[in-house]
Amino acid sequence: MKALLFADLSIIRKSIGQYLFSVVLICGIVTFTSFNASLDPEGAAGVVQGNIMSIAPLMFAFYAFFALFGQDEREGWESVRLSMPFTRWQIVASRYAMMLIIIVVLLAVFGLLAAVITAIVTLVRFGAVTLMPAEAVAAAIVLCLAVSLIYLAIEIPIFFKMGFMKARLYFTLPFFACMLFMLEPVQKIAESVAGKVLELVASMGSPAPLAIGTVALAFALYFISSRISLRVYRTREF
Amino acid sequence: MEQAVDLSIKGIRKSYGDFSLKDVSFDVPAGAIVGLIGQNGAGKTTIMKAVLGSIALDGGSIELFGKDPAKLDEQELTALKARVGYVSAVTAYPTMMTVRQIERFYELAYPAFDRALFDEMCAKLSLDAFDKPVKDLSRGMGMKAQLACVIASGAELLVLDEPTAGLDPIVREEVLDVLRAWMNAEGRSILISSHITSDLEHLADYIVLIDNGAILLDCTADEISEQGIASLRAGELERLLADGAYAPGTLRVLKRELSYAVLVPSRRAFAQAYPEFAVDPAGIDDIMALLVKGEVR
Repeated sequence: MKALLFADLSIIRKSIGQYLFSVVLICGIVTFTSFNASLDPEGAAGVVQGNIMSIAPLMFAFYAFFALFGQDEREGWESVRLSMPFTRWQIVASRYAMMLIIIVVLLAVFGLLAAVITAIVTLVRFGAVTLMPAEAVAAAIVLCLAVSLIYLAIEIPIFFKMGFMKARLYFTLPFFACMLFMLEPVQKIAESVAGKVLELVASMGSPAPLAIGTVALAFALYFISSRISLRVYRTREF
Repeated sequence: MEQAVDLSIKGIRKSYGDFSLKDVSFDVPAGAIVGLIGQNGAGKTTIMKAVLGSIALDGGSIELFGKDPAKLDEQELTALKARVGYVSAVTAYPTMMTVRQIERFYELAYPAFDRALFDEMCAKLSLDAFDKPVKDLSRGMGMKAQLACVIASGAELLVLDEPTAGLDPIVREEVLDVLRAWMNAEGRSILISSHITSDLEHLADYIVLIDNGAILLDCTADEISEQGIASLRAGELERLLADGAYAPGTLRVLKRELSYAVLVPSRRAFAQAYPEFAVDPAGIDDIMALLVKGEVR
């Protein structure tokens, strides 16, 4: 397992320069937008910090996901890896572990980076450092973690089942599913659910249980997804 | 005493659309090199995939060191796989990884990995591009890196898929030398597939010829060298067949431009019986051509 994580990490490390270019671009666009929009300090902090801490980790995580699954199918690496002293479960588990590590590390790194950039932007523009409230930061982290884990929980089994070349065509499937929210009947259902959730939060007096519940649900789905991946990968031939 | 067998393939069957492996059986005895030959698409790679567990079999079984991998628990399976080293026809490592990182990967994967041996192998093979990513390695360098890794891994059985294909003669000879030297230790064995049959003539103890998913020949290298190719004119061939010295269905005959090539089981016996006919030692290529394309007479 250690060897598999090492290989995955080596693959990702070599492409960090490419990922960073995208991250710099995102930070640049967000900062530029905040300077040009008519925002108060809190609004600017929300735009800069909120966007950087959520978009950058997700984008970076998806880059890593593509790099790892893309490599699996190149030059027969999958066959060589299977010939080595690893079980198919170890291969599946290591990939899930690696993606989880990547997401957690990215959320921490970009959370800090977003705070630093926001501090600089608000200091330069408004003469004083303004940051998002801690609850809002925590909510954004929980949301990012849950969204990315659920997204991967859907995608990873497809990639283990079909391999990169075929499965990449289905990568945007959950994204398109989200577009269903643009339909009026779906919106109504979502509003009703959101209303009930807000009522629940109000009755609990704190959003913390909801946040914990959301993350726990995401982890549960992620774990179930790993079992499904093992099932499909166990019978796959190379 | 019965000879130990590192790999035993017993009646394996596998179908893919219009191709199928048909009850393929052969052994790789401990201390032996078995050369697997055949045309493209004959089934060599399918056999290798079956040995490595990359495909599920429709029938038959495979035993590695006396154990059926399909019947082992995960711990036993990884321990068994640690005794097998696979070298792919292409350098199948992640293209971004450097040779040093590949070495580290093997070190983490194989409990018996010997770093000093890896360095020794690299020195022997003049492989010094440790910091080069795999994508920048030449074909020869990539093959050397694979060999150094599997040999240092502590494997006892090497499964080599076309290891000399696309290599220049010097590197090819270096690779073969490394394999010969590796075989000097007891209990080691190699299953090697190759199109370059001259490599196998000098290396293999046993030859297995596969065609269209079925084994046409499974014999020792000595048995190969005992066979002969007689070049006969039409009249000479008719005389040979009419003589009855060879039972019907035991000779393979291939029509060439000006003569007929006849595969005879013992060239010495043939030369004694027919001193007037030309007979040469049969190479693996000749035998393969006659068994695959020749007519049974």
